[in-house]
Amino acid sequence: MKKDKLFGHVSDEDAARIAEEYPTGDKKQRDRIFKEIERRVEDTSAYGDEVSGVELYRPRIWTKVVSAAAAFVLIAGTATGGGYLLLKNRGMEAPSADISDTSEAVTEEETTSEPTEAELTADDIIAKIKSRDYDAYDQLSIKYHTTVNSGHSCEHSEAIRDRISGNESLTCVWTHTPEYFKDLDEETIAECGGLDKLADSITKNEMFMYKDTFVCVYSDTSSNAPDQYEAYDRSDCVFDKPNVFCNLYSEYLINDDFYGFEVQDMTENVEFIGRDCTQLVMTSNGEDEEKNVPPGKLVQPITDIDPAEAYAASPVQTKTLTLTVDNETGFILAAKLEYGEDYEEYTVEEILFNEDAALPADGTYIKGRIAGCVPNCEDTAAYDLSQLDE
Amino acid sequence: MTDSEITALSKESPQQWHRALFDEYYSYVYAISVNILRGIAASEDIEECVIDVFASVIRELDIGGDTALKPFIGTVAKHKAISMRRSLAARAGKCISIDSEDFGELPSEECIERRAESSVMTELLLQKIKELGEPDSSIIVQKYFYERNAREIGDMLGMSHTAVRVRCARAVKKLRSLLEGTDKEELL
Repeated sequence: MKKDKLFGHVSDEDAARIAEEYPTGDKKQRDRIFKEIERRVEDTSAYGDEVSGVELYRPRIWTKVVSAAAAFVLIAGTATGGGYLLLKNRGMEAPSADISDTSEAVTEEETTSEPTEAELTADDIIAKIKSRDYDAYDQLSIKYHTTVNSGHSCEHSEAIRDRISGNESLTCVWTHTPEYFKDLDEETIAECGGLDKLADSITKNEMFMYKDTFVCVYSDTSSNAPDQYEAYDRSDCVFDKPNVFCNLYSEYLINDDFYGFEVQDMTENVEFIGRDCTQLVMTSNGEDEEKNVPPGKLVQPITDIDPAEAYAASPVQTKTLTLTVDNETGFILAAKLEYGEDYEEYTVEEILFNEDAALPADGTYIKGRIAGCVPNCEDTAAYDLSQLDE
Repeated sequence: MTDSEITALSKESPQQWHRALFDEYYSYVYAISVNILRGIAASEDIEECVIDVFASVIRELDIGGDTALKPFIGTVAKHKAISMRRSLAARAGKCISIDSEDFGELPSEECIERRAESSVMTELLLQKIKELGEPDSSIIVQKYFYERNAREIGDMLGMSHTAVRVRCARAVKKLRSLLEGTDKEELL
């Protein structure tokens, strides 16, 4: 018999009753567990506010990060050039796992002592970025803005996730300068009332991933028509795979593995939105990209031009990528990609954890929000939204 | 020990308060955790969850207030365990082989809230387990509810692991006959 089948999932009351009638764990096991609880409580007291509200699995994750990073430095023998190797080594996961195992004794000693931020190297920061873990927080909300097309297109967004309920939301508001529309044909510009009027319009998408339902409300200030909404099964939604933070500009950079970039400079103890950060300046001369980047790979700046077309047309040029990385979480809080006279910029304006974080909209709010909207198609009109009532 | 007695200890010695809280509610927290994490978490994960729960409770409990300990601890335990289950399921989803026999079960496992709770069947099951008498009833619960192995059960009950295995096999046979005609019989 499979051990998990006989009882299945019993109610809390029955679980409590079982615990009362059949207590578990011998003294040795209980003592070991209690000792660990005391250690963690003491650690929290020692660090005070620095770790308040942090998910308790974090120490384990943190240990792994420090282990991998420290082991890498030990084996490489030097921090210089380490960033280059890390950036070039696209298969990061396997070596770090092996290394952390072989140097367990060393790293364990290091992690039990008080962390010394001054010892961080560029390799450590890169490793931290790659080990970022949005799952380490029960609730997380991030307000950010992304500027592309050298400042002519700006997106203000807020991504919110509640791991406990599984609900998420993403609100994006886009604004543009008149310059952004200058390539449109004159007829279209005239129909829309001119460049300035086009630039005055604000486009907004409010996306709600609620239980198994995905709802998006589309609004646009250029039209007097009622807002539209779309609803479909959440499993078909691409905005929350694996979670709502997959849409951050920084995630595109990381998924691209900072391809072709080398760390040139690092500045520690940079304070950004009240958090202790490290700033990395990386450059790419573009030559490696030309040789190695497969078509469609997102190494080119995110513009509205077809990346492949832009890539073929643009001469090889040096790009500079400046990252501001949160030392505690490994999250990229700011990124600026400069190439020639153009730039793209991503800036986190606010990041809140656990009880401080904003919560995703509930069913009542979503129902109220779509009350004055019209469905965008027949499928949406027919979609069962009863989950919003639960 | 009552809640007020446990809370009173906080003024005398934090460590004694922690220990009393732990001793009183360890099995409760473990039971809630294992109930939610069963089938997906290793024993180390369940221990980690229990540690997590107590560390949070100790940090966040308003000692001066009149918070009833059991509901508070139960709620924290449930939330932590659900959180861990989702995390483990997500990780399993990323790494699991398509050939694994568990592959098809993942989506349903994530719908924790939708699991049917058959209290009547559990009540019946517990009643029949009790009829087995000690130590057999404890062996069955430790093995099938807490998912402990024979060696761990032996250490708890002061028996050799071989004796635990033998008694367990006999107890399962007896329990099957006691549950004859119920849905649970098929699971034995």
